Amino acid sequence: MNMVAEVTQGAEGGPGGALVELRDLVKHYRLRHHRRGRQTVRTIRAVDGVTFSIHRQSTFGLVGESGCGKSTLGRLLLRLEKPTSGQVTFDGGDWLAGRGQELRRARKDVQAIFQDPLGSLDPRHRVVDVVSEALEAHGVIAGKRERHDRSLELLESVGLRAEVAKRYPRELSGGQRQRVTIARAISVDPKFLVCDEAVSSLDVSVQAQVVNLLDELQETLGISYLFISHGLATVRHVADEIGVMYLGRLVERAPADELFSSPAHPYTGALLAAAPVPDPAVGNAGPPLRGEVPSATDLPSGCRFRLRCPRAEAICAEVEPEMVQCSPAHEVACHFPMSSPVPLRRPGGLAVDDRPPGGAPGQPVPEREEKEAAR
Amino acid sequence: MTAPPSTRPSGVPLLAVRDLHVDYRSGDGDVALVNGTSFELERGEIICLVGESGSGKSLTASAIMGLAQRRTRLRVGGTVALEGRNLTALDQRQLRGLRGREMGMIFQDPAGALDPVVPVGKQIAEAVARRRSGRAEIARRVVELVAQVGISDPEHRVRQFPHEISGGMCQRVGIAIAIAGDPKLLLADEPTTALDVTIQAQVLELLKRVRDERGMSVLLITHDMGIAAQTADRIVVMYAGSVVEEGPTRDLFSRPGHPYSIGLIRAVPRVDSARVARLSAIPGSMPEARERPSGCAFHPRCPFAVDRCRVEAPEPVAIGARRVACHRAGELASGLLNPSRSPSADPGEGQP
Repeated sequence: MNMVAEVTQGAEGGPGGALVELRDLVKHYRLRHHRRGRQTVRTIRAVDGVTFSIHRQSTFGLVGESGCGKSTLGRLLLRLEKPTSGQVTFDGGDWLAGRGQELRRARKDVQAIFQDPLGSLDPRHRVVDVVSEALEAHGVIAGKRERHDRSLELLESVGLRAEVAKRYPRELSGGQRQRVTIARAISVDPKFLVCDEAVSSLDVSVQAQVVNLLDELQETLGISYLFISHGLATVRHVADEIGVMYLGRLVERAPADELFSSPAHPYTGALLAAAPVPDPAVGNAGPPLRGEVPSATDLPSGCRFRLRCPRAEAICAEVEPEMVQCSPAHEVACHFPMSSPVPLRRPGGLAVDDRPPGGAPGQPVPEREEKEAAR
Repeated sequence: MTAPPSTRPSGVPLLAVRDLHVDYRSGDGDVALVNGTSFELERGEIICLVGESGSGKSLTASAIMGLAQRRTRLRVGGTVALEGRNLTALDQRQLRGLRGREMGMIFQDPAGALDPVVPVGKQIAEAVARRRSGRAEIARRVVELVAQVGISDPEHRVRQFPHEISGGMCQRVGIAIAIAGDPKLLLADEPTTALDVTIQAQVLELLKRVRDERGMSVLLITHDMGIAAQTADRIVVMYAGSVVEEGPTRDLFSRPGHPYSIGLIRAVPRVDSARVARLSAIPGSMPEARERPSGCAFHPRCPFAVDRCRVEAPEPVAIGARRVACHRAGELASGLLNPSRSPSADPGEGQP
């Protein structure tokens, strides 16, 4: 298949190297309010200084609750929004610098699939034309006939047979529609795919099909994914590395297995504890996290999570924790991380993990850890 | 985990749904959307009606509430008995008297279910006023409800409008309204689907507490097997308009009997299991109501389907404490068939 050959070539530098690097990426929105003749300006800190990199041929999972900035971050990487500040390097070059024709050409390398496939497909185009259009727009294939044939080939590679290609989006099931958007995205041989809640609207049995398809495509085409999702369980099964966001900040980043086996940030722990496990024998993981996410215009001082945190102490209100390494590939932004393979030392020389586990009431996570250990 | 059977006079279940049918009357013939659903709900019990989109679970709830009957294109058949009284025989005026007093309902979109131009406290008061009178009495009850559903800073909150409060808070208001009339039955249709996972945990906790404190029965409709596992006493699994399996939660998860339940439980990605090379998917997708296959509706997606499944719709059979509507349920339960030869994911989604 020529598709494979081309992409292998595109993946020079081999797997492991960074394809996308974000440095201190910031997106603030200014909200103007007019009230009784006075204007007030509030700032929503949607993305507030995020740094991480996505490796070649790997999947970075970005999780967090609504309003944490995960989708805004995806839109920044797609250049659908302009960041307030910060840098993004893509494939060695400055991703934010390109303009006009240059940007148009560059967009070919970065494609996206979204949550609602029906909303991202033109209702008046047959499925095969949806894919052909992408091939035409990016000038991948010149001849109309050839584009059509290539589109059928692409649709087949995502598991849609020729008779489906003749249908309109509304005549397809949700899973089939998402397959079409995937076919369109890979039609231009991208290096990087932003999947924003790509399987969230699908039924469970179909979700698994699409996740498996994405996995296969990564293997054959060598694409990197940014997989944005609110569902931790799904991310666990697609991502090589996971970042957890809370109110515009990345609070923890770790290889997928390590994040689940030893979460360091109390928020990550709470997310894990709150995810309902489809097994009544496992049981609920303790009392749920109290309170709700504060407004992004009116952030608490210090650590943004402290108002809901079972471990918060005085220092958390004063100093915003920096990202620190707690194991070679594991970073956390917390003054009192839960458990870390290498005990962290604070400037005073005290091991942070000296805190008694489960000391304070309402700590969901240690309970779950015990339960899992017991099983 | 099972309901206290003490509050069960004369053996009549709180809710008995028998052979419920909902048909859509279209120009070219009737389409069966719900096709003979039967189950019972005891007092103080939480049942989860589980299924994917198009399974008919929401329509079943809507027919129980008497809401489906209001739509001229829908025809409801079968019986829905609340404490032995057949609701399908009542007219809309009589049903309106029951809603709120005997049955409360919570919806998926908490903000959409509230009136956008009325302060939330007043909306709760309206629900209370259906059952009680006297200003002081109503005000006292509103405060009580607001505290019960865990709304923080109540004096301030009750004066706010739905758009000023969060989705989780709106759902708490929705629950306060639903339980204001002290109903015996609470129907919750995907009550946490629109909420974040940490807020979802809070709301599910609240539902369980309401059940424990008031002995209410809850019919929870969800697509999420995780929620069902953590919340329900019993589970009813629906597929393409029919119940395919029903049983106590523990049994259903430890020994699912229907190939669809087996596939569904396997397909759910779990936070507590390591990454696998491939998620186990069920090939194909749920058929449209108009295009339901002959025989067992699941047969085109079923790894165990035999000729009989293609022609004859299976009747539910008892397997232990469960009821399973599958021709091969007996063989599956006795281990003659290997369920690990399960529907593996194939790239094609179309049916043969």
